[in-house]
Amino acid sequence: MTAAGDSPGAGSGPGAVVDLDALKRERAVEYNPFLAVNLPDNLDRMAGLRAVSPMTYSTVGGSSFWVATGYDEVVSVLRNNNKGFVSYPNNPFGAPTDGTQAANKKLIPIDIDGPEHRAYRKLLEPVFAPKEMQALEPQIRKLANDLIDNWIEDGAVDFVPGFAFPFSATTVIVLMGWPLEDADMMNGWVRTLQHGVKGGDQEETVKAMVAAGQAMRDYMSGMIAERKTRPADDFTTMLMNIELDGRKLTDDELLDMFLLLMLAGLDTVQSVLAQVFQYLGEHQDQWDEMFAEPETLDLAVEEFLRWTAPAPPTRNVTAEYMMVGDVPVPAGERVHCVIGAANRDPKYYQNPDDVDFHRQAKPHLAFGLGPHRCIGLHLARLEVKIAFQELRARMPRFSLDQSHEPVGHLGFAWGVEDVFLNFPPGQRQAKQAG
Amino acid sequence: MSAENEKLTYVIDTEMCAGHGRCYGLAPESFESDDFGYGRVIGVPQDAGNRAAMEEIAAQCPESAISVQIAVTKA
Repeated sequence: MTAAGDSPGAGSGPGAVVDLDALKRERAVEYNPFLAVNLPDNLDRMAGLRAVSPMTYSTVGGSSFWVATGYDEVVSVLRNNNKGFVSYPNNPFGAPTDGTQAANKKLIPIDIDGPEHRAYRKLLEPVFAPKEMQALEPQIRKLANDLIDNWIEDGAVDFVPGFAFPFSATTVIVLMGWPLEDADMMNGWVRTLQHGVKGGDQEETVKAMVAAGQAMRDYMSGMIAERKTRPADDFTTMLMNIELDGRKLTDDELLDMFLLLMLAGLDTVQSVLAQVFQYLGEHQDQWDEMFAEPETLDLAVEEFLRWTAPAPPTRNVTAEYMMVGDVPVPAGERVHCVIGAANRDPKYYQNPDDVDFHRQAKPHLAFGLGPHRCIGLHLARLEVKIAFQELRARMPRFSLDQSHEPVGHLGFAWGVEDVFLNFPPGQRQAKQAG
Repeated sequence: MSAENEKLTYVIDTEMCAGHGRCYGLAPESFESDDFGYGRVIGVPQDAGNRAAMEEIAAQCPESAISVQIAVTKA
C-alpha cells in the first residue's frame, strides 16, 4: 500500500474503509490561504483547526484542498514528495488557468519532480553548499551596512522597505555576481512586481508590472550576454555552464531560474526579518540574550525560523491515494501544508507560541523536508545571522513604534508590513562620496 | 567486550539525508559538509557514556537520517 503515515491499526484507522465524503463534511472549514490577516491571529486559528483535526478540508471560492496543521501530517506529506506526491501545482487553488501568470509553465527546479528534479538538484546543490555561501559573507555584510546608513541618523525606520525587503531582494545580486551598484534599480523592479503602483488603478498597475518584469528580464539577459563574452568566476557563469542530458539551459530557462532564485529568497527572508524585528521591538531582553553568549545566536536563528516559518507549500497526490494522518487523500487532491502551524504543534513544542532560544524540541520545518527542501537554506541562515549581527552593532536598542499597527498577510509567503522602529540615532558608516 | 567499553558512532542514512546541515552546524567535531551540503561523519567513535548527548544531536536531524550505533572496531 502507499500509506505515508501510520500503518493500518487493528480494527480502526486507515486500514478500515473510510467514507471520504463524510470526512470532508465533518471537517469542512473555510480557510482562505491568501487572506490579509495578522499572523498571530491566523496561527491561533490554525491551532483551533488542529484541535478539531490536523487534517481539515477547506472549500473556498470554488476551490478545495486539505489543510495540514499537525507536525506529523506535514512531515508525512513533504517526506513523500516524488513518492506519491508532486509539487506542481504548488498552489492551494491549483494551477493558474487565466493565462496571465504563465499558466502551466513549470519553474525549474521547484515545479518539477522525479528523476529530472534530482538531476537539477545535483547540479545546483554544490553551488549552494555552505562553503560557497560563506564566501559571499563580506559582500552581504556590506549590503546590510549600506542599507542601515540610509536611516541610522534618523532615529526611526519603516523596517520592511528600509531593511528587510531591500536586504533580501539584493542578496541575489551578490549571489549572482552582478554589480552591487545595481541593487537600488533591482529593488525598484521587484517592488513594482510585488506591490504594483501605490495609488494607481489596476490598468496602471498591470502596465507597470509588465514594464518592470521586462526591464528585469532585459537586465538579466544583458548579464547573460556579458558572461558569454567574458565568463566570470560567479554563480551566473556556473548556471550558464551546467549541462543536463548533454545540453545547456536556454536563455529562457536561465531567466526563469534567476527569477525564481530571487523571488524564493525574497519574500521568505524578508518575512522572517520583519516578523522578528516586530517581536524584538517589544522584547529587548531577548535581543540582548541573543548576544550574551556566543553560542546563543545560532540557536536564536533556528528558533526564529521555527517561529516565523513563512512559506506553506502545497503538494498534490499522484498515487492512488496517500495516507496523511487518518485521511486517505486520493489522486488529484491537494494538501496545503501549513508549516507555521506544524512548527507550533503542542505535541512537540511546549508553549509553542513562546520564543525560547533554549528549547529542546523537534527540528523545525521552516525549510521544508525531503527532496524539495529549500536549496537556499545555508544562504538564508547566513543572511539572517548577518542581519542580526550588523543591526545589533548599529542599532543596539530599539522599540516598536506603537502608533503604527503592523499589518500581516498570508500567501505563498506569509509576511508583515508596517513594522516601524524607533531607536537612538547612530552614525553613518560609509564614507561620503566627494 | 563489555558495554562500558563499547564505542559509539553516528551513522547517516544517505538515502534520507537531504542536506539541511543541522548536524555539522550543531556538532562540527563530529560532522562535516560534503561538496553538496550533505552531512558526513568525521571524528573518532565516542564513549558509551556520551550516548544521551549523541542521541540529542541525532534527534535534531529534520529527516531522521542520523542514528547512534555501536562502532565496529578492529580487534
